[in-house]
Amino acid sequence: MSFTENSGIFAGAHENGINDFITAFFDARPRYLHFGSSFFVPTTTINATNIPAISLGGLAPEIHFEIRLDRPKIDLHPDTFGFSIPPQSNEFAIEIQAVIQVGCYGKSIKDSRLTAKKTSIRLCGRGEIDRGFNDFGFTICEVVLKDIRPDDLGEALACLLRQIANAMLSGLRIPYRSIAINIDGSALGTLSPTTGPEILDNQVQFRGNFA
Amino acid sequence: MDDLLVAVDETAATNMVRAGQTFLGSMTRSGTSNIGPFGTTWTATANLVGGAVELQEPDIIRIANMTMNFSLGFSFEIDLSDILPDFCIPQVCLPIPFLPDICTPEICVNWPTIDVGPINHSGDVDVTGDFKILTTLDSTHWNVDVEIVDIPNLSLDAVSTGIIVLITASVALALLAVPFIGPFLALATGVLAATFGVAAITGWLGPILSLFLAGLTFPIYRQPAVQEVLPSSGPFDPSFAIRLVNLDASVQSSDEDELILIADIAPA
Repeated sequence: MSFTENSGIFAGAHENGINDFITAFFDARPRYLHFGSSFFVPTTTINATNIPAISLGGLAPEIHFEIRLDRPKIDLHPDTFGFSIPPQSNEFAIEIQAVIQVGCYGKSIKDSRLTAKKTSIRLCGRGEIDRGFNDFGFTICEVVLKDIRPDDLGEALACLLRQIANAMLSGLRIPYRSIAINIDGSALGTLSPTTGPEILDNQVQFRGNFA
Repeated sequence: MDDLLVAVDETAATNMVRAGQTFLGSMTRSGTSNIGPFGTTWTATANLVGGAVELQEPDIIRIANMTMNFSLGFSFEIDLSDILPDFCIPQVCLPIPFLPDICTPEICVNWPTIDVGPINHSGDVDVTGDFKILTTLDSTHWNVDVEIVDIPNLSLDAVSTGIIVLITASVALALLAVPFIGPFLALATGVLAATFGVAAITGWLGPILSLFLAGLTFPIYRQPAVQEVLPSSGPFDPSFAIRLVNLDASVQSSDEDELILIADIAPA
């Protein structure tokens, strides 16, 4: 069976290549791995993103916190890396180590010094391709935190961390033409996917035509 | 497993070839060569368009019935002494009674060398050739080129016939300007017509046009090795790029023939 089938072009990126794209993205834009309120991240830079502290409506000082994420690694279906949650059909699996710090005030009401309390946690998740008109990204649909009790605490934290992890991935949009090694252009016209992108055989694949 | 795999069908491959032909543009050659005993000086330009593209495993693109459009300008000299006998008009004397004879001088004619041309001709010829896919990396770009495997035979008889008509007319014009040619014009024309036959012109023109095909190479893919994936979107979001490494191109056949490009990715 041909690669292109009824289309003019087939492009496939193996999970090793996708992880290379991920490495290049987070090397260039590390702030997507580091979020913190002003106590931890005074201002947004290339290396870190400043986010608002949690306000208590003026009733008490704001709650400052910081989240640092390791650069993620993605496993495209079928399972290759043996992640805790293997990818299902047309899914990817992801595992991310996260370090969370919370700024804690002293026990006395007069003690306004903040001390950082740190913990680390490993996210195990799975997700789907987020299809765009000219590019695609990755959206985590489910995160599981192991060994968190009670279960509903684990679920609540998983929901929180899933949203943070999706913020981490939000900037990673890979153009179709990058997967197609820029083979389009004036010679072939504009590349327009007709099927996919989908996850199959450890690849992100799409087929398309040139307009 | 390669990081990236791209396959295009023959229709897309045809368009890549078309773009390569356009990129190649017009080629110019010049030189000297003989038609029979006559040395010519010529300049030619040519370009290649069209053709049916057929992909063949493992690394061949056959382009059938490409059109080579060419323009040719050439000139040459004919030393008429080589084809016409030199002759002398003898002295003629008129006897005068009681006086010395009045005589005309002997006039000898040494035929001159005449310039023919410049003759200009444009035409086209069908070319079918197999091209081998070559992948190279220069200092900045990956290049996938196609290089002709062998110089194909060219059918030039029709083109040669047209050139003969032009040569014949140019030679006739040049001869008319030669003094005393009148009685010898038919002889000169006959000798020259025998020299400028289809076989002679084809034998002269073939190597000229083959110069455009010898080693013919043009690109069908040329992209920077370092490829920007996303441009900068602000002071805190610089552009990010990847580097293509180990790029290779080939042809694979299954239920259809496809041009395959594979590559690995490395940090930029």
